[in-house]
Amino acid sequence: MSCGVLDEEEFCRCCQLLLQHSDGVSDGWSWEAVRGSDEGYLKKTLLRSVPAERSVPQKHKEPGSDSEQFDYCHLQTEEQGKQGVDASSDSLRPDVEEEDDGVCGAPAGSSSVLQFEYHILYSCSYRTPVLYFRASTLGASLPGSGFLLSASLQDRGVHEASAADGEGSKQAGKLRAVVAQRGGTHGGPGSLPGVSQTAAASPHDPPAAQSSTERLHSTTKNLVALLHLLLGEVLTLISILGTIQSRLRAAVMWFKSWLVLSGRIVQI
Amino acid sequence: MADDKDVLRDVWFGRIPTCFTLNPDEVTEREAEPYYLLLPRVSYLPLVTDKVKKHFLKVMRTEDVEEMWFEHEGTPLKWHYPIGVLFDFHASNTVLPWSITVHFKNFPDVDLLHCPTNSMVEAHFMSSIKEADALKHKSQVVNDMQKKDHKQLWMGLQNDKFDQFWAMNRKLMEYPTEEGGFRYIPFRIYQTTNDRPFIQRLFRPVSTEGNPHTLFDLLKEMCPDALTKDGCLQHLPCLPWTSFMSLTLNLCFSSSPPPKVESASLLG
Repeated sequence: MSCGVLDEEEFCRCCQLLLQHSDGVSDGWSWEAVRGSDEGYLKKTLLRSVPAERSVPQKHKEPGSDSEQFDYCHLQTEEQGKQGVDASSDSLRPDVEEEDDGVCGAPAGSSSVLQFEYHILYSCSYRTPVLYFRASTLGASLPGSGFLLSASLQDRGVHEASAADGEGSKQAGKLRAVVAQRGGTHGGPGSLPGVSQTAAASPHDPPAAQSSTERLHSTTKNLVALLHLLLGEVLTLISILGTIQSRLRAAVMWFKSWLVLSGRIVQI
Repeated sequence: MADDKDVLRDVWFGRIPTCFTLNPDEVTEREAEPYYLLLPRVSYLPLVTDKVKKHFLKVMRTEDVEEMWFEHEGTPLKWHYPIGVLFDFHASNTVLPWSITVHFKNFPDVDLLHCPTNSMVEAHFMSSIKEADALKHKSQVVNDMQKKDHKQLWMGLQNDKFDQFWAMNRKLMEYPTEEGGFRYIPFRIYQTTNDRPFIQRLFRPVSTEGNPHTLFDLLKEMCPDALTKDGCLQHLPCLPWTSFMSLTLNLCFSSSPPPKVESASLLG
């Protein structure tokens, strides 16, 4: 590795070192080779069962107007539960711990098995490793809206985001996936996870390293963009849940009316 | 910077006559007529198929509608590939119009990424632009552009506005005259005869001796099996010994993937 960039040979060598360490601690990383070549990438899959809790609505409109209550679901991870974290304020905050955890949500009263899949491969464009991660639900019944937090990070090169399923998902257990990537300083390649890109490192002119100031500036820009886009996604999610809530209320009102009518018919 | 604007316009305004047909398994209230459309080669399916969706939604029940996706002869079409690449890859040997089947259920999660909004396409497009500039200018040009410039680039593509797009894209296509070209040329080679989605490697526009690299040189290095006879590139007559830098300037709009080379057959 020279001038702060990584060539593919060094990347492969470092991967092998990581794999040795991973095997020693039973961490679950493995090497996936690309058929017919020396290239490959690191892969890891995690399964996590996560309970969900429903929170009390926080926002009410003025009396006389259509009252709306924002009812949102949040997820309390096992770690948060143990630490006694106040989840009501965390809502859908991403919890990135150590080497795993994205953000996910499920309606109250249900639990989900979440699968997190991580790929680390070498980007010849950015001369850095690129992390792809994918989070999906497995076989969970989703009476309401199953969703995965989506984030679109232009600077970081997040590749795909998945929105809410919509109310009353008919395909309970259907796999829904978010694929996102983080990589280098400028984002990553726009390709599917698991795709390995080769790099014929130029023997002539190694790219100049970025100064630490440039890196800091880039990283700050990336973080600001990330926060901005996460906020947008959370707001979208809240509006979707609000729609679901209003429809449920309409259904309850209809049922109440039916009960009243039925009662009157009986009296007659 | 490409001087021949006629070539740029020819590439930009390239169209593929397409016939959209609803999947026979979709539940409809009445028979759905096919929908015909001229698809721009340089755009993406989600950006240009609103009318297709509206047309078929007229005959469908709302509860039967999920995320729309497309397939050609049983192969799901990846929305994050440019339309021209999809056509060349899947249907270049079939008669026109290109026949695409529209689906509103059973989304193939394994084969396709979800695309709930156009912001996903924008994120992917901008990621490609930035990756391409990382190769061409070490990301200096794209990072020096303001957010409104990025937005104009995107809006130009989204709204099919050649002048609006190229007003910004010309900055990304400039290079120092003394260098003879970009730092590296952003390209991807899609092959039907390979398990890999595409080939992408570092490739200089000029050799160490100072001679411009040609398309022949690129193919010789990246996929020597493709060098069988004269061929066509993006349906324009092209000789393999054309300067690859010149092809890049005239045939692509600064994003990855640029002109697609079909290795199975180079004949148009």
